[in-house]
Amino acid sequence: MKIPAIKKAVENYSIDELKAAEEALYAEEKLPAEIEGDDEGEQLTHVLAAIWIKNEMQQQGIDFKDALRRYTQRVRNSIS
Amino acid sequence: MIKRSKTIICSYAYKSRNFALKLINMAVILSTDQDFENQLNTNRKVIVKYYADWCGSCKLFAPKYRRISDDESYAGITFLDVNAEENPEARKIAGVDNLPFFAVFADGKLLKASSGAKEEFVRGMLEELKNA
Repeated sequence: MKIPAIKKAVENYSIDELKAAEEALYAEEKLPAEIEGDDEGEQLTHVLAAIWIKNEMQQQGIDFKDALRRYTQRVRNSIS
Repeated sequence: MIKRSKTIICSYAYKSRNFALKLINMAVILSTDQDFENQLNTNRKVIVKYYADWCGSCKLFAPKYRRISDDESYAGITFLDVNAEENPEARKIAGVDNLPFFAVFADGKLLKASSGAKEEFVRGMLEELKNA
């Protein structure tokens, strides 16, 4: 998981575009968006992260930095 | 005529029962902190896939894991799924440090645990578990 790739996805794509990218990855189709990642699994992680962060920013009224902090905390909680 | 119908019904019921049992044996079971230890103690051989909803590799591996669980050569093995984000106790038992993460247990004891997202890697763990 690479934070700069998530940031780029958040800045460049809408939630609908990111959801289309998510579906394309499940269907093993060509990505309709430019998402960085070493493999499809990492690309999907970046897409899911960007969707979650954008939703969090909208619903909680917070900026990217705070939403990203919440996201990374969520990830840390899963593996520590 | 009645006897023949009874035979057909019995035969259908038998086949349905066997089919249901097969499904029960080979489905992937979603486990939580509440039942995890019980699953380990009541099933002799268990493989656990730890995942999280934010993990892309976990999501892409899910259909492969279900397909592996349908492989009859692993019929004696119980396949579990654990959401690592929501189940810290089950996570600690295997020492989850990355996702997706797989752990195999024999007679309730941890045999091997490691992260990975390749089918061959999981099948390798299952072969070790089969021989345990």
